[in-house]
Amino acid sequence: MQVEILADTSRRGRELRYVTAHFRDLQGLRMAPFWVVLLALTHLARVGAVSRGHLAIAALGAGAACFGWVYLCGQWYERRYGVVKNEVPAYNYSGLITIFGTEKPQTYSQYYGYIDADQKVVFLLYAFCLLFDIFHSHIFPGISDPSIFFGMVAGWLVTPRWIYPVTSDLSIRLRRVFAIGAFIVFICIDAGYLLAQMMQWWSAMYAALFIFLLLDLYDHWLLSHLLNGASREWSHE
Amino acid sequence: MSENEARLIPEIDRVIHEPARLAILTVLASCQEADFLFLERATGLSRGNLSVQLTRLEEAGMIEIEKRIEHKRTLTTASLSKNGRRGLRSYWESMDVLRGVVGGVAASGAEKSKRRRGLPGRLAPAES
Repeated sequence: MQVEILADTSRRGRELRYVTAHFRDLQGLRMAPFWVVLLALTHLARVGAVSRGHLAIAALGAGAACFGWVYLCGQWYERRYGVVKNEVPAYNYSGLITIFGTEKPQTYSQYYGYIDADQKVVFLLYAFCLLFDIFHSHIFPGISDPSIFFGMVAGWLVTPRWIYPVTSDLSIRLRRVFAIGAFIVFICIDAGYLLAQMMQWWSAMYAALFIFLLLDLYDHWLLSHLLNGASREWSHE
Repeated sequence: MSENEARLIPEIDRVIHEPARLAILTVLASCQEADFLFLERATGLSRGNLSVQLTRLEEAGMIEIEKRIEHKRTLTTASLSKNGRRGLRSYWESMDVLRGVVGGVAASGAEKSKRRRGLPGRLAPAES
């Protein structure tokens, strides 16, 4: 009986450490509406119901709204689940070594799986510039290729989900499994698109956006699951 | 358990060993600071119980509690103090030692019972 209690406590401890360290990563609703809007625009582009110019402007609008939404959604998460502040890695700004990211291992381990605000802004700006051209008329065919957009988003948003350590709990492991699966699918989409042109432009876009949406929705579910799972009262003196 | 084995058992910090307080410290050890609401959601403690446990930990010098106003609302945050971080690390080290001692005792106990039943054990090779 005591062994079971200890095992349960230890399992719960691992979950607590994970949900605290990844609190911001698991806020899946921050980006989900962005993917939904892009999915709708992709669908319209596929059907050909709306002109490319209008779609490009709508994509720009979605990108702009995303900035505001990320902030508002963060506020909602804070009101619902509380506030957690994680330690920021102490970068060494002394020359070229910084480029190779030689931050101290102990600070890095406290920070794993988290994309900071600066990186998100850079990512959104890049997406913002790319999206217009993707939905418009591909003025820069080499740059606005969807494979670049997928590669960039997969690198920034999907890789941290599987590259950092996870606990042995099933729901947390599934997050990594889904991320690895998504990453493989992205490689296949890219390879299929670049090498064989097996997939049509909009089909590739549609598949990738749908995967991003699913991953984010799973993250949101996982956050709710981990923070509502501790419903029982711990014993006290 | 023999007297020698009993002497090997490390002293466990009773403040940390209580499950509710251990859950709070586990959360705080994984971040810089967390607010009252997050601790309530993560640990599943009631507000009253959480408040009592936080006060107890603060009195023991394990955590630091800060109250401030952010976005027009009062935010009560808790963070692990240096003393708390040291205490938690030493607690887990003690638990590892304890696990080792208990594992050793359990193995030797099994060995003894096997010998009593006349079964061959790892330390007592079977007679030819």
